[in-house]
Amino acid sequence: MRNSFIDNISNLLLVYRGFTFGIIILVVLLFLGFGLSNFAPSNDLLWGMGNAPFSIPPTFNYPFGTTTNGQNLFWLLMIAIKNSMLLGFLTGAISIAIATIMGFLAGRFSSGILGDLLNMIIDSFCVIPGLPVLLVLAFALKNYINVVMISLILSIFGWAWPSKQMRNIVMNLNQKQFIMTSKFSGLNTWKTFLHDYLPYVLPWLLIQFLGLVNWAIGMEVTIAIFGMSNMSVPTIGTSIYWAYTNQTLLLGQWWWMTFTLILTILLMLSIYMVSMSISDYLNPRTRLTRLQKSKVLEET
Amino acid sequence: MNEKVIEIENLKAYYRISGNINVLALDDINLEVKKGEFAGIAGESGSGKTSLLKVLTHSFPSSMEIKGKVVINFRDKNFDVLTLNEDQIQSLRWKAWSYVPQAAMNSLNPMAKIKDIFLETLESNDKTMNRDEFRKKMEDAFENVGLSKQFLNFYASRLSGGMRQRAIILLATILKPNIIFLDEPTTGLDLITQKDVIQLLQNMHDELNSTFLLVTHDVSVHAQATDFVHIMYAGQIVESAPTKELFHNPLHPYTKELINSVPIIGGKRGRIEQNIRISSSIANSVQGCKFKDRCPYAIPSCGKYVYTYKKGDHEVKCNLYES
Repeated sequence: MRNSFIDNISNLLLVYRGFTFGIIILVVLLFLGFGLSNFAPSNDLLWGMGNAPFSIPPTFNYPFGTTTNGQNLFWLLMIAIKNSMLLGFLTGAISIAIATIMGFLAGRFSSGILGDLLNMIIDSFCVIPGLPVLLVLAFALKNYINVVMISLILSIFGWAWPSKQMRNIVMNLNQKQFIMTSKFSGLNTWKTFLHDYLPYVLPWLLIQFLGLVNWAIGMEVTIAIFGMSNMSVPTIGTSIYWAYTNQTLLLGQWWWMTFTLILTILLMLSIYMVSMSISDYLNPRTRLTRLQKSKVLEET
Repeated sequence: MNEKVIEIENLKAYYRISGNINVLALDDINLEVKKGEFAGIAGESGSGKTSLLKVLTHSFPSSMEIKGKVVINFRDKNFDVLTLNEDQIQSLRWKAWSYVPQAAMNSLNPMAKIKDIFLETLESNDKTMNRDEFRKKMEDAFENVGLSKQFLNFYASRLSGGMRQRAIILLATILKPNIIFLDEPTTGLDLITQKDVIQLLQNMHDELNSTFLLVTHDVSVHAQATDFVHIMYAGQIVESAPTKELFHNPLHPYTKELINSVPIIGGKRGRIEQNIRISSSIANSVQGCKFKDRCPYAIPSCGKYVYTYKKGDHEVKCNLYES
């Protein structure tokens, strides 16, 4: 019997061009961010003064050009990609963990006081306008702000909507006969969650996680543009902020903003395409149509 | 054989629909099941069979309001299941009783392997054995009923309906509980598989010496499997008798109608005469017999009271037998 995980991945790679494209771009960006950035020279690790020529367009030595302060933009953007991905993945992981626990408990105990209380908390976080509160929090914690702190701040609001959806999925699963069998069998809440609920929600959680990664990267850009991020640490947000503050577009230094935006678009688009392909694959109707069209179904 | 393992007294159960609207699912049920008996409960859909099993197994929804007494005898002790808390109930499940639920084919998690489903149940309910002993027990149980132990490594979704049904019956019987409740265990299966499942249940009953209480609308299943049958109509037990006696000499007009509804191969073709009217109030408390609106033999006293006629083990609630 073939491993179903490998089957699924190979089906996704063979049939979903978006998935293949997204995965390739993501792997390249991961390599650049977490592999190549380790070779960055010490004076290009933070935004500041560099020892390269000021404001020169892309050349062989400086593939993305240099900043107005004489830093090599290539290395700074590699670090920015790493930090933004780290921030996104960390926010996604924290938010999805909170969403899973809160949503599961709210759904599992939906007919009791605990369920009502958790649902009220989830609803409250869904309706509180996130951006102003995030900006205030970022401002209040400005002295302690770093990638991890920004992730924690973003996670305060990131979990609420997935949690609401998780609750609905769990309430739907509660009606399934096999869940009742588990309850009748005396399985405790933790075991029931692991064995019965989690396999059903895992693919959905993956899609939500990828969505949260994109949301977090976008929110960090917003916070940075308002100047509330740690402005010396390279991220996509701080890169856009410094490019804008140094009036690079007005000065004709197109490369700073252009390469930042290209990398941002590639990163967010690749995550989006992977997420959409998985979502499409998980829908039995669209999956069957696609597999039949590409004749993968006959081969397998 | 005459020791009672289930004793139900004046059991009433309502489903709260909304506000003050209640639907009476069980209406003054009195029933006894003896140790080692293969008892059955028959009746049409909506007659309260499954509701009764839900009360007996303490798996009823929170919207159900219950009055009365349900006593289950386990290790010479009587437990009124309606007065026990969830922890006490769980300590009795799989030892005092187990349950093959309705739609048993959907009762196994399709994304889990059969062995994992069995292990979870065994480990949660029997602390005397280790994992290897459980594994051996599972393999023996499967081979004992002619199923290869290879099936234990299969995901539930890969098994056919009949295999899943057999697996869920094995799960319910593997810890040899005193009572096994079965809710429509043959529904949705083809006739050959149905026959196999009935045979499996009979073998299990002979082997385990447990008490079986089978609920199904299919009276032919009762005819093949059970020793004693109770007929339910609109939340009440209208007739109880040993199976052979009931099928040879049904007394209640509803029981006769139920038995006559079984299609006979080679029987007379043609339009079925519709001589019964559907009552609009079968689920609610009404004075007299609830079947009177549908009964072709109804007499004036049926609207006032119900007479209980008893001869040996055969009991019927019908005014036609009032002397």
